[in-house]
Amino acid sequence: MGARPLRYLSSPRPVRVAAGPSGVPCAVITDGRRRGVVDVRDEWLVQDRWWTDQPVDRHFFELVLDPGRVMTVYRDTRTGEWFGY
Amino acid sequence: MIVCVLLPALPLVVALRQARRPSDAVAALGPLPGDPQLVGTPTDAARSRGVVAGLRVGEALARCPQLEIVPPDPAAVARQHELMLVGLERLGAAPEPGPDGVAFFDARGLVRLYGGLGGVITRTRATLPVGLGGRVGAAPSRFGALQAAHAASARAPRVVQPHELEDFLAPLPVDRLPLEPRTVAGLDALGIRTVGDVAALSQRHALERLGFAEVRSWRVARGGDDRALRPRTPPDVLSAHLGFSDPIGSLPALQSALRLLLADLAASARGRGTSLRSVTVRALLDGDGSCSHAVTLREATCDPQRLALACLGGLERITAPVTALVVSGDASGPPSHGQLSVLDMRGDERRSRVHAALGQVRVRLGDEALMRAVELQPWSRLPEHRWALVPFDTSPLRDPSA
Repeated sequence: MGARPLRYLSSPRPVRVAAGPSGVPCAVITDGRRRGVVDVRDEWLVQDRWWTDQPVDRHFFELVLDPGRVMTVYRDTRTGEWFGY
Repeated sequence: MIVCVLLPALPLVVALRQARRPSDAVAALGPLPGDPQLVGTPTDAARSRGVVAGLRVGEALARCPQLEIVPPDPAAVARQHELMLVGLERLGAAPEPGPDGVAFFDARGLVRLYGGLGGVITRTRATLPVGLGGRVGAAPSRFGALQAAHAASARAPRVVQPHELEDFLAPLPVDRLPLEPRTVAGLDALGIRTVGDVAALSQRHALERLGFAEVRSWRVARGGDDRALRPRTPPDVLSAHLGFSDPIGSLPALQSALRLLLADLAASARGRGTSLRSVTVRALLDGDGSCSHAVTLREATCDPQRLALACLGGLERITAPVTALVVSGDASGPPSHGQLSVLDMRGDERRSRVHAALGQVRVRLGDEALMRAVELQPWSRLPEHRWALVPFDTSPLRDPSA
């Protein structure tokens, strides 16, 4: 079998996030509904490709939304926009 | 007439030969490796000193301190038994093998060839191995022929004519009949102690005393036969052996050696275009004795993996270092490609049909129509790098046997 195209299963898309004064999300608006954040399971920073024209500088949060859905979002610290998976 | 060939006490005689002991030695057959510590058949000299088969070894030695325990050699016994059968087959007989050292054949087909029953018996005696005290008896029934062989001597065969059979069998002890020991004890309690006593019973009484399972002994006692002779199909023997300069006691080493021999045997059978019906593994032990393990395969095969599965378990019973391994097999099976499939292949067929259908979907809708999610970098801190989509592989299934 020859070489096949490969693509990522999920790519980030813009989401609306309401964050508190500390920058931690307190609600996510998805599918037209506002869902409160029940828990922040994890958060991490990724700073990569700083030597290229498209550097990555993201603050990730793994959230548990009401009523139980787990969602990963990040804030692009360069532009201040929020994205989710 | 049925002719019976008997090599009396063959395992004991062979063991005495292997141990280079005379036949009048005070000796008894020892237990096989791994078996309970009981003595086997004793010589007449040992029997006269109170040793009987089935005694514990310690008790036998206590009864007879000069008793010698000779190790059994089932491999040599099987060899002698096979030699006897091959000798009969060379005469033109179709023998039915009995227990070790016993064989029966129907003389009808040979009587005209050798000038009468006397000629058949003379030729039969000439095929017997020297020094094993072979005896020949003839009678109208299988049981009668066996008893005639027991009554014969090494020099004089015994022929029981049809009109003599009843009188010949009548005085024999009832335990000569193929009966369970418990039944013999029950008959003894009823005062039935000879074959003639059993033959004198009416059929109804025989059924009451013996039951359906053993009423055939009543027919046998009356000179009938419980079943027709079942001549064997002469085996097409293949063998392979491996000798070790230093005796080997390690089980993994023996297993490796056996795998090699089985692969050799399977290749020989495949080369002949046949498959193996049965395999016998013989281990010659350091010192005296041997250990033998026979496996009859459910279906004839020449697949080394299946042969190994069937035979490797027998090596665990070997309790002494081994000087040589001999593997022999009956290669009279059908060609291996004619075997039935062991596995149910319906699942494979369904899978191949699903793959064909997926291939058609791809042809119709393009490569992007069918994708499979695969884990790419599950440790990545960038979630989009953890999973990827790759085209679903719809190439034809590979044949696992290829």
